[in-house]
Amino acid sequence: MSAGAALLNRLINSSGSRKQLWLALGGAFAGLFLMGACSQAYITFNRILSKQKDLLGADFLVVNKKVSLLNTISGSAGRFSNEDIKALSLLQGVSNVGAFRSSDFKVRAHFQAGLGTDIPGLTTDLFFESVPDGFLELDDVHWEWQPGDAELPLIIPSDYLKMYNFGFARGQGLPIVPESVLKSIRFDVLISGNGKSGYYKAYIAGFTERVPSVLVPDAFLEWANKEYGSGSNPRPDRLIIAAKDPASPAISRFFSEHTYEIAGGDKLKTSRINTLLLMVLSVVLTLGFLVVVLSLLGLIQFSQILAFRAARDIRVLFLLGYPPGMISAPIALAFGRMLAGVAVVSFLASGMAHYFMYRFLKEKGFQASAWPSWESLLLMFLVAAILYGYTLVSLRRSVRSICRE
Amino acid sequence: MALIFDHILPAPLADSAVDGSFWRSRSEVAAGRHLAIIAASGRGKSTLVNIAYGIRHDYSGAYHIDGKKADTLSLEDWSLLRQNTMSCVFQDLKLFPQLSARQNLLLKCQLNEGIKLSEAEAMAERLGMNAYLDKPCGQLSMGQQQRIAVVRALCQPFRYLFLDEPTSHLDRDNTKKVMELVMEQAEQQKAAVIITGLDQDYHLPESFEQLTI
Repeated sequence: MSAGAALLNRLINSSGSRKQLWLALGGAFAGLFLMGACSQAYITFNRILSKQKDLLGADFLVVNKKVSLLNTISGSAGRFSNEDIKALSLLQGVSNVGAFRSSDFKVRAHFQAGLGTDIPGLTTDLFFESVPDGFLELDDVHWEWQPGDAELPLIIPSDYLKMYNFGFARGQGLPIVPESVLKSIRFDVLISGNGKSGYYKAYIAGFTERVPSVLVPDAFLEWANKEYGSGSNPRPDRLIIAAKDPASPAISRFFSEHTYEIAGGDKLKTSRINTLLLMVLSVVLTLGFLVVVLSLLGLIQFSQILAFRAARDIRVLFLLGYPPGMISAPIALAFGRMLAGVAVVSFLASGMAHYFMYRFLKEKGFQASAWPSWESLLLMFLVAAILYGYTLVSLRRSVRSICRE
Repeated sequence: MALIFDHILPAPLADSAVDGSFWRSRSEVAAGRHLAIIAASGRGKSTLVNIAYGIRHDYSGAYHIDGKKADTLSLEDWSLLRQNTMSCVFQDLKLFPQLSARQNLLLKCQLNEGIKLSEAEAMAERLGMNAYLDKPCGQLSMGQQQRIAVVRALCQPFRYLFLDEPTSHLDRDNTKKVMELVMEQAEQQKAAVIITGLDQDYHLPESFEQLTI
């Protein structure tokens, strides 16, 4: 180490300023750890939750009118009028209202035994419904149909599969079927009505937990109702609503007053809890960021006090011919080493916190990686680098200002 | 290649400087020129050295260093000049009292690869300082500190050497030794020397011109 570096290192290690340095470094550790651990938890929970994501987005609701003896007698049988739809559209927080289209023809599905699975041959009557495509989150699903297409994609409630697997299959001694296998099966669908009939090869394109219906592309149902339907255009009995906050008190009150029912309401609550969890993590992450900012202020102040205390020596070194950059370099290096140490300890601590979270989640039956995510490490590295960068800039400014005096 | 003081007038002397003196005229100090500025206190001897070495900037007029206007130089430019072109013995010495005399010399030697600490130690020995090299400068007498400050100023290449009352705390014998060493180094480097003092008792060679300010 050069004599100049040794001199400056001696100054940085002066006992008077150590307390503040340790305080600032402690703050940097706390902030980095909080950010690392929270970003890690955020990413982990987000991954777990996205695996449970429904094809119907969290911001959508499916509602129907409660079927009561009164509206059964009156004949309206729970259908929505144009006024009902208009009132819903005007509700605060509601951005779009779409109507379910129902099939106006007979549908019969036939599963052929075999087909590479142990599913027995099965014939059943079905019904179809559709919603405008914009209401579905169909990133990974082929959901297009045009007249002439022989294949028909379907979205069915995941409860149907559960009913088969854990009810019917168990009771009949049949094997259970995973989603992936069911998606690979093509089965026949016979549509008839209006004196016509047609065969389609249907397949299950996806599952939903929020819509208790068999969905087909809206384009298909629009075409098929004209082709095979009676020509009547009944009012919808279910609506799909896009809302910024589906569980807002205003919407809940409106539904309660009009005796509307929300399909999959319990799932909506789960979705709200998930959103709240991610929100809490975001708040703690922000808190970590604030602690980092505070520690940054501490470090900047420390570097300024350090430069102020060493002002006479810095000035003399400059007058001897030391450039400002060379004067601040040993202090910058010492800061760099200290912050790198703090960053490594924070990395390790947040890694350990993640491991404990992983074990906890595993015990609860959730799948998560035991290793910290690279995004989280990158975030910590970037924050530590920014912390160092700002401290360095402040230190250099102080040194240059002293040299200029 | 020269220092040009073009009607330089330091702010504190704006009212007292006499017309036709150094302050209100144009002076050029080229390599090899030796100037002695002998004047009473308060006439601006140290101010001149401080302006020439870039410590003070509160003056009117123009000061050029090798063709460059001093007030346009960056901090880095000044550092380079002080490494290779100009050197100074400050009136207040500007040593690091917590460092030993040897460490103080080392600080300067490290700036130039061509200068070895052993050469600095040899110069210190000529001034009778080798027994004190490992003592913290803060524990040395003013005369001893002054000799270390002179050696430190000589531990670099220079074309302009400024000495601000460099022997004010030395006896006649040590003053003679210091001036011999200074002139020997200045001649080796073909440098201009500007020396300030209260009287002419410097053992100055005849090559020195006396300047009134």
